[in-house]
Amino acid sequence: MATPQEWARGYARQALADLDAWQALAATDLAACQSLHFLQMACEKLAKAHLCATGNDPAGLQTSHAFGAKQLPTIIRDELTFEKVKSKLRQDILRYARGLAREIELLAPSVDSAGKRPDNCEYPWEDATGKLWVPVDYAFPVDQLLLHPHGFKVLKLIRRATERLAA
Amino acid sequence: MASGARRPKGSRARKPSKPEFARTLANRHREIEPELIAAYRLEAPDETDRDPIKLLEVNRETIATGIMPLGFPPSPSRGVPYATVIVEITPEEFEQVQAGRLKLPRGWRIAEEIPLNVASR
Repeated sequence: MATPQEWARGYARQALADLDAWQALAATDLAACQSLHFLQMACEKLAKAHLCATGNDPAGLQTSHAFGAKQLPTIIRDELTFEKVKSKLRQDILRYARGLAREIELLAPSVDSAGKRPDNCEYPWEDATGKLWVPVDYAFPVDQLLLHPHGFKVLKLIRRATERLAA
Repeated sequence: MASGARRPKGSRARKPSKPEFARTLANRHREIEPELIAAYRLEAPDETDRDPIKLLEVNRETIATGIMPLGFPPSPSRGVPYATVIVEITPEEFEQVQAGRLKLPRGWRIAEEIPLNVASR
């Protein structure tokens, strides 16, 4: 039977593969929803890796996609805690990470903020006016957040945290 | 060693004890997380020195999802000598923990409150 650490490493290695896929797709002219789908899955698996490490039942974690907004900022904070930069900058990055993590989590179709945010990167949805939206045509808010310098820093920290756990 | 004092060349810093590092870690978290309002050290019923440091952190900015412990491996190169577990909850959830309505896993109990250095804001 695999140990919690083996499960954690397994999730982290798969998250790393998802991050690689996200980066590869983001460099193409494919619709943003395609690459963002991999980013969302990578963050979900990174959160699950840290949950597995404490002995949570891996099978119980596999069925839910609502991971990210809660755990990702804690994971980012762990990366920032002993970083040798001013605490104000670390505070700002962490605050930014909270907003970004929520937007990444909302990319999953099963997470819609009680119907207020049906936008997702997999399936078409109808908005409150009855207009149909298709992910390939949609400008996701998260895409803009990622372009901010803090967004870029958060992504680097996500990658570093994933690599550390996958090693 | 006093802050700012030089260590003799070639000497190694003493590894902090688990309670010492728990205090350092919680205060480093507080330094970058102004909404972290309280931190507690958790202990398992059969706690040994090989167990990870477990912190319960009450954070006004987190999302209420119940008890979800996150595990972090040790990382000596970053100055983290012990494995750690972080349980982050909202102030309302902490009230539920105190009232026994929200249970900590595996019989963990609150061992001590860690004083947070508010001046580090």
